[in-house]
Amino acid sequence: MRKLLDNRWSVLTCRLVLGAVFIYASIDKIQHPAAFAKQVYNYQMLPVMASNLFAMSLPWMELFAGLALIIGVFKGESSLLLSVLLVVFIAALSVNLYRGVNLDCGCFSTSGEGRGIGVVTVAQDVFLLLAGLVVLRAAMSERRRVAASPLATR
Amino acid sequence: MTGWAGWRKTILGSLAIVTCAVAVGFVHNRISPEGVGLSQHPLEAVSELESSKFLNNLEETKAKWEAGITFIDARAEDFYLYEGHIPGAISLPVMEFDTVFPKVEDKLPSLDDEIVCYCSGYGCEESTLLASKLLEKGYQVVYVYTGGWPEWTEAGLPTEVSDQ
Repeated sequence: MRKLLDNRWSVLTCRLVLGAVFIYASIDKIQHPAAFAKQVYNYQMLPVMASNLFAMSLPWMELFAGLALIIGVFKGESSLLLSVLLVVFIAALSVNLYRGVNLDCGCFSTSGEGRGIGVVTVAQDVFLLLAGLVVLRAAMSERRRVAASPLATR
Repeated sequence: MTGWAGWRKTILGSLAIVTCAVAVGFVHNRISPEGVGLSQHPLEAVSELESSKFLNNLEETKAKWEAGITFIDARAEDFYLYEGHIPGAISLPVMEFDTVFPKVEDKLPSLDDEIVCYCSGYGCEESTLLASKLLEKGYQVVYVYTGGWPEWTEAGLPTEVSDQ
């Protein structure tokens, strides 16, 4: 298991998949801020103003972090941010599944014709979270290696 | 760099991405034709109704109810019957508008009287859809109560469970 986690190809795959998924997820939301704001509000987790602010910013976080992961810069920062977001998504989905609220997931599309929420949406986020943690772990150990190398300035 | 210093740098970097995203998102939303006002109810932003037709205030809504203005419940009939409704509200499920409207038409006020539509609150769309349909039928002053059933019941206001 440890070997698999340390394998640079598995880390690279996780990084590229995570980056691509989040870039894809951000595009429609960026184009339709109001429609996405309504989807966020439907989750019934935040009051209007906080919900709107979150809805305007979230797609850009997804885009910036996704791009960084694809390019291969700020890997630790981006994977940490996306992992935190995924924990938030999993919590929001679970709360609404528990409440029995039937809502549009708002995961990839703002058109309202997208998917509802269910165990599959949660599982998808858990899977992405695992990929995020693999990338984060690799980025942190790379950072430590660089810091420990004799060439490091500090 | 020790482990903690590495984490600190990573966390600060993540916060920097968040800050950039909030700034860009805020500006982009302002210039986007599909943007939403920071304190605007998201339903208002996506609806074609005028914003003055949204009742975002419980007190104002309650005053209209006390004044005897007609309330219409846009949710499915099961909710109206078994979960309850605002006392005096007429059930007109928007999904069955074409079949139910002719049956309740005589109970509705005249075309220039005020009407308030509501559904299950938060971002529910039935009330705005119903308002649009009523406007098409010629009703001129149709409001949407955005807080809807959950806000009304959470405030402890009267409710009614009955057959229509």
